[in-house]
Amino acid sequence: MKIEIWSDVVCPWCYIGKRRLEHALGEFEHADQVEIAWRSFQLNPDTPAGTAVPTSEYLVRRFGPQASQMTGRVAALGRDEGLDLDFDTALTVNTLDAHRLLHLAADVGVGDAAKERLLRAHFTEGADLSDPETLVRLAGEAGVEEDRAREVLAGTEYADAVRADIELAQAFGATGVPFFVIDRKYGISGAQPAETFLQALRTAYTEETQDRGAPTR
Amino acid sequence: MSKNQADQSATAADQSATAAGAVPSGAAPLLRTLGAPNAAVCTDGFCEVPPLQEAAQLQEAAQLPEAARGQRATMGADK
Repeated sequence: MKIEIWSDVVCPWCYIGKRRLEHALGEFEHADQVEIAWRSFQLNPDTPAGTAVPTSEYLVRRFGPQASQMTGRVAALGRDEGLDLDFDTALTVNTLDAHRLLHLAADVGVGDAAKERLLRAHFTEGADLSDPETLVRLAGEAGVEEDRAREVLAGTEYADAVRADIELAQAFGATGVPFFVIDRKYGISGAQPAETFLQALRTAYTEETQDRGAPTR
Repeated sequence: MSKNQADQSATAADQSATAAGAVPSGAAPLLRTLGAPNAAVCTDGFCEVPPLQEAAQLQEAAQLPEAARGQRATMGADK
């Protein structure tokens, strides 16, 4: 059972959704048969590369004063999942390089660790994910060889993979993230409650098993 | 999980999807949609909280014991 997850590292619902899915997988009877693949999606693709703007400023500029209410509510729900979402220190950046690094991390088998590290760095540590050396350090902490990360960031490697992910999301009709696809058959949009994820996993597993004519146990 | 339990779960999820009325935004017709229609997404940089979900989540959080909230599972394999 393969779950593909489209998300961005500056997307709070993606972080919350990740935790909720993890919680559901902790209850799912067949979690050992689940494979996770992280797919790229950029919420702010027009943000100039190499620049970092305080997220609180960025949101107020784009959405007006209600932005702070929005972040306050999201942060409160994040706390319920054990996450410290600090919008006062977070920096809005173009995440293309971060996604390229995530593809590299997946190729060397540490995709989930890298995803988690970048999310925490952005939301809790106020890290500048547009800074190549910051990305190299974070990739290294997730288990990626730093020289290899530096090499990828110096070029354009994996940019095609990022674009392909985004195009695939659009083909699936995704307009926002997180967006979950199970075995290219089932779509789940948004940071659903853990119980809903669990129910969806069980539904997908049962139907897939029945389709193959195998017992469900 | 017994087959009966699995069937019940599947039915419940189906009902959830059916109750949603159709395909929620974010899912193409070729995918069968599972889950609630009003889940939280970030679109174009905006990450609003669906009012119904916020209320439900806050209520749920208030009912959960601290220990249960602290339990975290880890995610599965990489691609």
